[in-house]
Order: sequence, then C-alpha cells, then structure tokens
Amino acid sequence: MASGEGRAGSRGLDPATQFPLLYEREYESVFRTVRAMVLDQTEAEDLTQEVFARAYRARLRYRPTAPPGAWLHRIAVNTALSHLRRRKLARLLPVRLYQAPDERAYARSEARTVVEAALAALSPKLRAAVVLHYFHDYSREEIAAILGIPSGTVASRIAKAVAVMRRALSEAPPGGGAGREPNSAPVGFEQ
Amino acid sequence: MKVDEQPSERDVIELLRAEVDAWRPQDVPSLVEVIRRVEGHWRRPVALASALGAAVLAAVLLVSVLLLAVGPAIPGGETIRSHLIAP
Repeated sequence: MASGEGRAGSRGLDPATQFPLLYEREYESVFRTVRAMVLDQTEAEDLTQEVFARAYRARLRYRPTAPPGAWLHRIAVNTALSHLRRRKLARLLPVRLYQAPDERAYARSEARTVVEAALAALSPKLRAAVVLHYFHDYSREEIAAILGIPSGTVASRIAKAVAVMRRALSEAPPGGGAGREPNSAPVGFEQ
Repeated sequence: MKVDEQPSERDVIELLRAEVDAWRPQDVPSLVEVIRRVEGHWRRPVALASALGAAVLAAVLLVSVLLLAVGPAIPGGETIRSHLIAP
C-alpha cells in the first residue's frame, strides 16, 4: 500500500455516521502505527481492536478540527502508550499478577528484522513519530497534534530518530536479527 | 570509516517503509465484534463493584455475628450487643 493512501481515503468521513467505512479504511493503517510502537504482532492486533472500541465510544464527540485518520491515530498512540506503561509497571512488580507479554517480544528477538531492531532503539513516541511521518506522510503539525507535543520539536525528534536508526542499522549483524540488547534503554524514553 | 558504513537517510526511510508495509493484521474482526466488545465494556467494572459491595456486606455481617456470639468476652461488648439486638 502506498503511504498515506488510507489516510486520503478516510478524509472527510464523519466517525459519527460513517464509522464502518472509517473502520474498513483505517484498520490496517492504525494497526501499523500500533505495531511500530509495541513491536509485537499479537499485542498490536489486540490493541488495534481496543483503539477502534475506544473510537466507537468516542465517535459522537469527534470534532472536525483534525482529519478522522489523525483522530484515530491519536487514540492509537494513547492506547499504545498506556499499554506500554502497564507493561513496564508489570515488569517492576515483585510478584507477577499476570504474565506480562513483553517477554514474548524480546524472547523472539532473533526473529526480528534489522529495521525492527533499529526501531526498538527508539522510545515509543519516537517510533510513532517516525512511522507517522515517513510511512503515513503526516505533516509535523499533524504529528504534533497526535502526540500532544509542540510542533517545533517534532522535526528535531524525527531527525534524531533517523540518526539513531542509521547507527543501529549499521551496527546490525549481517543477515538480520536484533542488533540491540533487550534491556538497554531506548533513545528518547524520557520524552 | 564507521560513518561511511552507515546507511543514508534515504535508505533508512526506504527500509522503514518496506518493513512497515509488510506488517498486516492476521485477522481483521468484523465491526460487529468490536461493537459487541464496546457494549459489554461496562459489565466488568459493574461486576467488580457489585462483588466488592457484597464482600463488604458479608464482612460486616460476619463481624456482627461474632460480636453477638462473643460479645460478653470483649470490653464494651455487652453495650454493642444490646445495640445490635435492640428492636
């Protein structure tokens, strides 16, 4: 799929009255953003459903200040960030109340591609910014609105993210696989 | 040199686009399933609150029964007992 195709297709749709169409056109797009943030296929599938469930509940509150695609991506980013916070908290708990799914992702690190390993070197917000900009073709202003950060900082963060990815890709072992230790802190995690 | 070994920005973007483009959900549920999930979202907190309320009520009843049973054995128990069984 060409970048930004689904976004153009959903422009002008009203979530309140055309939610099924929006769901159909944006599902894969939202899935990819979530997948880039959590770096796990199964978690991304569950979270994408949660995103649309939240969006469905909020559909009557949608205001056309942003395209519906951007509105959905904002919900997706917030849902993924909440999930990652819960995951981090679960890892800190001395007694595990449930099996946190994060270990699955890193346990399979050898199966991950070099690009995924490079993305793993970034913070979730930077991952979202990179994918929204370079894959979905969102402008810096739109990304700023989606991430809830000033638009002036988006460009520098994207440039920083690309620099980190370039370095991570150059350090990746030949033939693929993760080039980063699972426990090392991602860049920009404080952001 | 190390710097020359790094892929260009354009290469990184192309790799990223190719990778992300290959990501697809294995299963896209119907909107009906998602809506059903939304419609049932209130059940869990309501069930939890209900269970919590029932547990608190049971605990209060248990304490009351215990006070009635062993009332005279604790200081001031007789007063509490008389309050509990007062008409």
